[in-house]
Amino acid sequence: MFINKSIKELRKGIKQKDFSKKEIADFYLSRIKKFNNLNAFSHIHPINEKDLNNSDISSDTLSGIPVALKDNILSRNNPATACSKILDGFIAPYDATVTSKLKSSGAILIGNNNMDEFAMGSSSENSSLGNVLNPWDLNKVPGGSSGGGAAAVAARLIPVALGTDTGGSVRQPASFCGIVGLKPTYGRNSRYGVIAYASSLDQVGVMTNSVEDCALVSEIIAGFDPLDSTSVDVPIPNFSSTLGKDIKGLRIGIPKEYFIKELNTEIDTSIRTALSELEKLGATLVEISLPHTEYAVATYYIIAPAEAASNLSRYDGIRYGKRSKDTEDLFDLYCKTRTEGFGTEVKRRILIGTYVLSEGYFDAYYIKAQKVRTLVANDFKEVFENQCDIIACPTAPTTAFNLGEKCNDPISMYLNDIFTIPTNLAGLPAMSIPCGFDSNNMPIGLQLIGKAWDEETIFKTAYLYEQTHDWHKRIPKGFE
Amino acid sequence: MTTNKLQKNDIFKIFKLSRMHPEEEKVNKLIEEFNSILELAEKLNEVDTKNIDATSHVHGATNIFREDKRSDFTAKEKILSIMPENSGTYIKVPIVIEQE
Amino acid sequence: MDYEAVIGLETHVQLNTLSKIFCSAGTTFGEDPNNLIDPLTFGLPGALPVVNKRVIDSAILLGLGLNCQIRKFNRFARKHYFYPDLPKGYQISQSDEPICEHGRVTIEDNGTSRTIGITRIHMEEDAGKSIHDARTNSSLVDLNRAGVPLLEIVSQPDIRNAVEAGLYLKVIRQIVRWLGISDGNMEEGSLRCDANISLRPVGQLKFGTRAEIKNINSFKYVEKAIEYEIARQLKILKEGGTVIQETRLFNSETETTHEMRGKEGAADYRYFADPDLPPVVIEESWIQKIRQTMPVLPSEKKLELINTHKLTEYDAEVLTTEREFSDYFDAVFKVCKDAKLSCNWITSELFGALKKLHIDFSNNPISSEVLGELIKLIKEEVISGKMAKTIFEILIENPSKKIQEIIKEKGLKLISDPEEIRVLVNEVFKNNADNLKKFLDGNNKLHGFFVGQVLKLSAGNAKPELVNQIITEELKKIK
Repeated sequence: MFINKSIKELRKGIKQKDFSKKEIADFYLSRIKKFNNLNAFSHIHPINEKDLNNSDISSDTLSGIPVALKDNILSRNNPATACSKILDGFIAPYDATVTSKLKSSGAILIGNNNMDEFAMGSSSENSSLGNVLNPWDLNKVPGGSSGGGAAAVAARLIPVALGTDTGGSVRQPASFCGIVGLKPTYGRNSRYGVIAYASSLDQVGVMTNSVEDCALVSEIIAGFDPLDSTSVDVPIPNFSSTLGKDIKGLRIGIPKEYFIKELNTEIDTSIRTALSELEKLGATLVEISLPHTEYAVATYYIIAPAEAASNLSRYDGIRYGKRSKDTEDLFDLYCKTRTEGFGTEVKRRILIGTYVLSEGYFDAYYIKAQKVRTLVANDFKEVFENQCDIIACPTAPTTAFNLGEKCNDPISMYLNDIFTIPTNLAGLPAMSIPCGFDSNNMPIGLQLIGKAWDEETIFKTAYLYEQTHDWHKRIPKGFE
Repeated sequence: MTTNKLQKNDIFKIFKLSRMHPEEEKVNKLIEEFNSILELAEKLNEVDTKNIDATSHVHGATNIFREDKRSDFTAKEKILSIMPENSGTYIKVPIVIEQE
Repeated sequence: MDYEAVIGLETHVQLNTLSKIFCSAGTTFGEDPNNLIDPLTFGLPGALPVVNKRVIDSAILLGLGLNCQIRKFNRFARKHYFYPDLPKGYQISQSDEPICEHGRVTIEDNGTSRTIGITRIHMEEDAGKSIHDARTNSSLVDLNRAGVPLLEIVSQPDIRNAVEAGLYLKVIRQIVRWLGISDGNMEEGSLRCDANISLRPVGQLKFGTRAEIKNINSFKYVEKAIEYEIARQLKILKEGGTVIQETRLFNSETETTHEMRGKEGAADYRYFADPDLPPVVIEESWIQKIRQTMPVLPSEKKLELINTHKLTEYDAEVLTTEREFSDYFDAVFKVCKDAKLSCNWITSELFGALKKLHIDFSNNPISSEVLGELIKLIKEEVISGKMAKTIFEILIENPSKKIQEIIKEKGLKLISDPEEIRVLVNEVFKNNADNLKKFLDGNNKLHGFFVGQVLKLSAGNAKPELVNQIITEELKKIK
């Protein structure tokens, strides 16, 4: 009965006593239970009945709205393991800033979503809890690393899920699962209490079924946090108030480097159809060039593992989490704990990261990559200064692939992030929204990339486009 | 940057630096993967980066500080309760050979 | 062949901030184990560092105090190594971009002064502490100290012997205390030092192979450790051997150094700019602001005391060992306007009394106004020096008492009227006719006797110089 009800509708219903907060929570909890074959959740939070047994809704809050957190976002007294064995048994002693913002806006935190271990992966197959299934086709991956959240939102197990996006981890699964996912400008949201993967790239992002819901939640979790010195003290715009404004005269840049031979032709067609819809809405299409796009993946796979290797040094079995038994000495305790605690992909990235930071290789790999990062960012700066107001392109070169398909080929897995990585390197906001289905009925995502701090143009454009179709209202078969 | 083909010894060194034990049967495959990732990385050699600044922080924000004020964390007991091994409120570990 | 030692010191100064360098946990010494923890100190997932501004201010201040250049664009870097007392698996430090560089400091040894170069000063966080129990084969880790701010001062290899090293360290301690950024307490570990030592043939420019000595935790041990290490290396070289580059630990019980165990190969710290901490940009205006708060440095203050106040080198040295001494001197002088008396009263009467009563100078009960007033009364000949001492002794026990009150109660009043004294002198002569006769016969030793008698008769209130003078005058009259 609550499926496809927007946050606003749910709020109105609570207020008018059409239904209660408890009914909403119970409805979603029963769906989570019923569809646990998706393996989209890692943990269900105990809910304080007091939060459900009232119909209080102060306006502009998420009162009574169920929300799920990616398993790398801390909520006090609940487990947060980033789906890694090394954090087995870890109970968070504090709230992430985004968590406390959700709490104080009245959201009901239902549980944590399954994910690729430490957010490293593009398929949600690298989880200590086993892989997540794509509700559109149970033989396919939901994308990653926020695959649990994306699958849960797509299957209507939860109306809102918070993910994290380091190289596309919100947008690519949003694209694979046919939902809306926003990665905001780097520094827009606090990273405090979010288990770090690559600190200079990580951002928390919101996944929902509609652009409007995404805007409502995004504006609640945004803002400078004195506990995160990389968050930036800029005014928090009212994203939802831009919805419905027209886009007449908006210049949309179409980067030619994103329409390459690796791009699936059905996706190409869908994107081009979406572009002509946008044109009909009054926007102008401009062909642009982002010449360093082809170097983004290589740049990312140096910078991200380097930061990851460093960030994951704290998981050492000394103070919390897993500590291996029967170790010979301290050195063995470290090694055994980390060998047993980390999965294959995490180990691979730790090793790569350690290597590129080590003596003799640092300048050749790490500093070189940081310089190319500057060039990737400059590409965007230039087109935004001179040619366009927003960029439109595919979110991923393919639709969801088969489970196991890329597990033994890390490079091909990495290349699936080719269209999402550049925006993380440049720190820009970007959203994936549904723009159709391929012949196998798998969702396709359109990516909108904005100027730094200009999520508003993204929301405005995405919302108008969303009104031209009903893809976001379609529900995967079997989950109605 | 020349193509650095990684050898077994190099991998073992990185394992040690990363505090992980190499799994003998997986090492050869790992070296192969490692080398293909490095090959991907070496694509960056094509890019001329002379006079280009390295980006360590993507937005230009600087001088974010806190004032020197003490405030005690309220859930210290929660933190102390998750230690894998302890002696009183100390964290207990296998003996550290020599204090640096 | 003669050899000379080449020594460089790395000094860690713990800053006296209220909170840690990157989080708001406290920094007090001697707390229960793991009481000063929070998510960052414990290296919990998701915890992030935020810079304590006072650490930057302190670093700039020390940089100015040690004549350094202050870097404009600063970044923190992560230094990686695994150790149980290092909760994040890396220490947040600075690598090739230290906040201060190219400084110098002067040390003085028996009148000759030498300049020791300062290579760099950088900011970093301290590690926790472990205690080791061989019996249970375990170590116990306390993270209270983890994250306490440190400034690491690296000297140029300009030091040539153990004595100079000790002097250098004392000057560093004096300056950090003087600037008010650290208590410089070696016993509590707020000042620690490592020494890099090598030997080379006299006249050779190239440095020899060095050993790094760690774990030196007192002034006494700095000299002991360096002396031992120089002797050890000298023996190796004289026997035709070669010194190997290594880290050695000082053992304070045996006063020797030994090779550090458990250290495998050269460390690879994998430094890189910490992405969690935005750069710190120090504009000239910030430096100027700090400069304005900077006190006159001890070396300049010493010169001022010698040149302007005509104090001896020794007195100036004593008054500038601590800034509170020097500030106190200035305040006393401001009231009484007599530098020499101020100095004497502070360094002998006050210091002596405090020492006797085991009172720390910071708890000195005699305010600078009171001591200044007391000295002023001496200068104005209202009281004698002896009276002042009596008053001082009462004051130190009862600091709330007023000087005038004591003068009144004890009837302390200096007799400086010559006629009043002349009456006393003649009375003494009259009462001691025998001795007066002997005196007039030429026994000059009795002069002192008469002075004593007159003072006694005046209950100590007569001005001694005047008594002296009038006795001589009166004797002349009798003759």
